[in-house]
Amino acid sequence: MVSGISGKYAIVGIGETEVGKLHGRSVDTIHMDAMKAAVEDAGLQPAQVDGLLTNQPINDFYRSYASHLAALGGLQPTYATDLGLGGATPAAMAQHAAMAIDAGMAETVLCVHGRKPATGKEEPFRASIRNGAEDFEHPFNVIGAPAQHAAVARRHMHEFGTTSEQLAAIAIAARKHASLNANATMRDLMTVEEHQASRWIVKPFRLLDCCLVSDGGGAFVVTSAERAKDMPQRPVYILGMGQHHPRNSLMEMDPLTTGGGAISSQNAYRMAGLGPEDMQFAQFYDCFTMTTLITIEDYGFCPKGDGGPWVQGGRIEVGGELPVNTHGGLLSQAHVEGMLHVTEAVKQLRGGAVEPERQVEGAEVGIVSGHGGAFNTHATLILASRTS
Amino acid sequence: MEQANLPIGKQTIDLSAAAFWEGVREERLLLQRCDDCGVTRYPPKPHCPTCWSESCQEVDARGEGTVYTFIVYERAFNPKLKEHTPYIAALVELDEGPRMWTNLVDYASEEDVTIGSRVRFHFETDGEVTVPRCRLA
Repeated sequence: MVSGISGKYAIVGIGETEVGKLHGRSVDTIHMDAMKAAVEDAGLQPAQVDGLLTNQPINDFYRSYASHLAALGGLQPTYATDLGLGGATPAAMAQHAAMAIDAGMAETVLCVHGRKPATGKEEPFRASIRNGAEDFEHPFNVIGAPAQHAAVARRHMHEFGTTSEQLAAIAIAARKHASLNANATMRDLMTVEEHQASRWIVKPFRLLDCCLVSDGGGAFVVTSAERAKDMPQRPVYILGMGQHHPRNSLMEMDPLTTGGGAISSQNAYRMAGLGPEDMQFAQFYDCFTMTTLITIEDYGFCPKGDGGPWVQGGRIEVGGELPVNTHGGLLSQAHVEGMLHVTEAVKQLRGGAVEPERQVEGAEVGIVSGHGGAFNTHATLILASRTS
Repeated sequence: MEQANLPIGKQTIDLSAAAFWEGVREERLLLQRCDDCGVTRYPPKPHCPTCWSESCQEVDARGEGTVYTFIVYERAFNPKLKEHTPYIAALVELDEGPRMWTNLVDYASEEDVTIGSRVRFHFETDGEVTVPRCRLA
């Protein structure tokens, strides 16, 4: 059963900035750079953009960052908002863009995210974002990005026997893909020995289990499949959309080893009339190695608990059964909060847009996950180079 | 009340948490039990997440529980913790049901701490802030 919206909207332009340390570039400028690239890629003029979606900034309080960015870009959108779903935001942006166009509120929606935490000291400190459970975490020194995911990881290891060497396979695959990607930060191939020798951060996570901290931005343009026909790039159609936000803290999470991805992906598959067996690649939000593993299980690629053995043996590398994070992901390309997972999916589906060694051959359908906080928010996108 | 060795982190108390932290200062671990549906909850909140009732009772937790999961900080994410790594943060399932983050302190060896370890709570202060922490029971 394919839902009415499936296949009717497409991504027709993408933009990516350089990633890593962008000295002298402000967060606003990084957004503008990504927006320019995407609008140009779509063969459009800025004046044709009538919808704008942004993230909630991670270190600033704007009533509406979208309103601020629209003004910077001389845009006057008839549909605009900040979406605040953490790393699930970019995938969700595509969903909201499709829904807005479907409702007739805009025709051309630009979705953009940029950040500058690596060189953040160049800008004044304004605020730090919070999930909401911090008042019962900070007094106990439960701080820092890896904490929550590490706690989930230990539970997964306890319940299913998942090992650190199995997590290494995920880091190694991401690194392999990044090594083939000119716009990636960490490009030296990784071995299991190197992963196992990397220092402990928050046990059971080692340094090489953890994502990068990066400056960078990305953007994409969504319009109707009808309009997409006349645009320069091969359209990438939105076939399936899903979200699930089951909790807001580990204190209220049961079980700890399943995230929002299970129901989010089921909803996306149902909308698209497809299943995991139809996915030719996956761009999975990989803030930590265990996040990728749990997502693989939750998305139905293997039974819950079997993720450890499943990711070994090259299965998730280009050429394997399910190439994951063909750009290198948050682990090895850059952390742009999942935006580059969407743009990478588009590139794979266009064909000929990435280095040939990391192109998934004949890719027609792929799946993207976004995940925010500590398994708090989740969004799924199924994209394809065909309308169904 | 004991003196904290491991520094106590930042405390922010909003309206709905005032009674909990006051209880902690009195060495009480207060949970909330909904009057309408009976579910016991932590952290404190004005409404029951299960049935949305605002009517609840304070419950004194016995201060015993089981380690549901835990992490060992090897890297300090705050400069004042640099001299105190490694330290353990544990998600403890209280015998009353709810789970809470806390620190597991005074363990002889990391190997002694496992999922399923029984713990007992006590209260520590740094002179300004008091927190419930636990030890292996």
